Amino acid sequence: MIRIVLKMILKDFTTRRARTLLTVLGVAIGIATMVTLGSISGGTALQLQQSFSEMADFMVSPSKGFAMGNRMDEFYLEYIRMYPEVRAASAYLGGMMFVDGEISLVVGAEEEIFSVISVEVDRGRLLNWSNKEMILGFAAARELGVDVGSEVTLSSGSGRDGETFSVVGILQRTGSFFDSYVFIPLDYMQDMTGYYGQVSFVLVELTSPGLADSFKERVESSLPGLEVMSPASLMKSIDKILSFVNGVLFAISGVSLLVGGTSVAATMMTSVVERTREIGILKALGATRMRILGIFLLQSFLLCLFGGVLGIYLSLSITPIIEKKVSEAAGFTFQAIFSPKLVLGALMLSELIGFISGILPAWSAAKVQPVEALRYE
Amino acid sequence: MSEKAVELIQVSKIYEAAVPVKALDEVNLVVERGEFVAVMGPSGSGKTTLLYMIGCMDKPTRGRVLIDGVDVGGLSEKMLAKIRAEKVGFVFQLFNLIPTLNCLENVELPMHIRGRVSGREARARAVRLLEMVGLGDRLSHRPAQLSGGERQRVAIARALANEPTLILADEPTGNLDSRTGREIIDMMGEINETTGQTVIVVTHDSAVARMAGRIVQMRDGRILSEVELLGADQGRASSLEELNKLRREVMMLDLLRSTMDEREYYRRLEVLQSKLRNLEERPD
Repeated sequence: MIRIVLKMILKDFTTRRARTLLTVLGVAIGIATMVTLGSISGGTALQLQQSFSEMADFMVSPSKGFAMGNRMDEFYLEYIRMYPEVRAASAYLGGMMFVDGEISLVVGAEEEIFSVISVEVDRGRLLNWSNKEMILGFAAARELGVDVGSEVTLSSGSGRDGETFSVVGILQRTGSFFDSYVFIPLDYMQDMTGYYGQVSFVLVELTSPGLADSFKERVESSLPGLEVMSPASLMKSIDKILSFVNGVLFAISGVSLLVGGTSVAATMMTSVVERTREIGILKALGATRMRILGIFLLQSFLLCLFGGVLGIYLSLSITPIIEKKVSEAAGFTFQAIFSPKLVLGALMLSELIGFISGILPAWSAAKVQPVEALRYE
Repeated sequence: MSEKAVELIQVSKIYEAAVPVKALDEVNLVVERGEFVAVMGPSGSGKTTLLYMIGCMDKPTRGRVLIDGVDVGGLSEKMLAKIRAEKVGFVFQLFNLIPTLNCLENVELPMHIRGRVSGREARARAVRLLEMVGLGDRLSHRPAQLSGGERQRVAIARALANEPTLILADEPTGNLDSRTGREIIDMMGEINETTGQTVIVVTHDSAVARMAGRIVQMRDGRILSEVELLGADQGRASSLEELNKLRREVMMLDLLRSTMDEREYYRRLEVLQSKLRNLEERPD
């Protein structure tokens, strides 16, 4: 039975080729939107998680908040280093700069930074912090096309004269923001940005995680204007923002799926009307209502399955372009993630659309009166 | 054997419209098992409605329809579909083959719908049915590639697919030239004669009606008269035609064997065999 039914359905698809293609495309666009947005938000979330897990235990920053423009005086670092809970601490001064003409996030830091954040050198060596040297993240090196031994020009604005740094090391690939970062000694960074004696924040590693509360209290009581944050707690608030953004994105893809589903329903309705006589014949041969319902639901399922598969394919071909654009614009490597869950979810969702859009036309097919159907021209 | 294959008791069918249409008006009719009945009458006299009523395609507004003694009025939609699949074989004026399927698939379809035999058995039986109606070489042709007569033969093969006991034909020769129409109606006559199937044919065609054992005349939803005919009109055919016909009939009998009991099958087989012997002895 299934062979013959499939043949009838496929024949209906091919005789109405344009209509079938347009309907499939309608579903595909919806699914592609959903999968693309899903993979992008999944990639962002994972990247944030990895970045924060590699980051230090704590961050001491100006209490105005964690933002690019806020800075604090460098001398606080000396106090923080003296606290008994602190095992290591490093200043961090970040800014966007032109590296060989490409805009990148450059971090001025001190020796201790690589004991505070857990990233290791893959090739070359660590910085000699008094020289004009540079270490690049894995992706930054690949995009700039430089390796250990290269000379790189760094400038704070596109029109300004640059200064030459020699590349001494490339970091391991981590999958986090650090992949796209460029590290130089703090002093040079302060010189080039003009923020003498200032840092964005201080990264801290404690001797024991149990000391978190006492450390936090000590900083906030003795160093007014500063705030202690753990990347983990920061991650929680970012998660909240992300899930809100995700909600909005899914609402958008939901709308496009709704449009796709409507076009499936319209196509199915037309098909039912066109095939009224055929339904009458099937009924005369003894097909029950449920059988007719099943045939048309199967047709709707198939339409949406094609749409789902095409949508996933579209998404897979669009996403690399988006990744490239986002990476260029944001200055760090961005990677979307197609988890099996996402792909499977998209297929299941497309089948759900098939069911929802197909049930009404299929039911109207099942209800066709055989006698009237056979009179239908 | 005088079991009632079909019995209609005071059956009325009223189609609701602005002015309600009385398609059937208190019709009483009994069709015995093995009868060949022709229903005649002008267009709109209710003969097609009557046929669909008997074929469980529609329910009466009033009255009772009994198929093999079972009142179908009280049955669910699903049970009616089951009766159509198991007991009824339809042949239509416009053939009503599925255009996207080939001959073989069209004949297989009712067996798949009924779901009693495996796919392979259905295919094998469909091949034999098509061979029986003389289309063994057209298995993978689609309906559009066949002539009207060939299409109607596919439809007959399809009607016999599930070994029904009731063949219902709605103007089976209406879209055929008279010679082809004659072939089709002969074939239906053979089915009736050889296998004892009950055949009810709605027709305008008096040539068709001559084949029948009884003619039911209808007008305005009522039965006007019923005429019993004695002995069907049959011209003398050549030996070769006769031989082909007998071969076909043996095949037909075998294909519909399950619709009759063992004794009846052998009795009918014996009749055919003696006809074959007579033919061999005939000196032409």
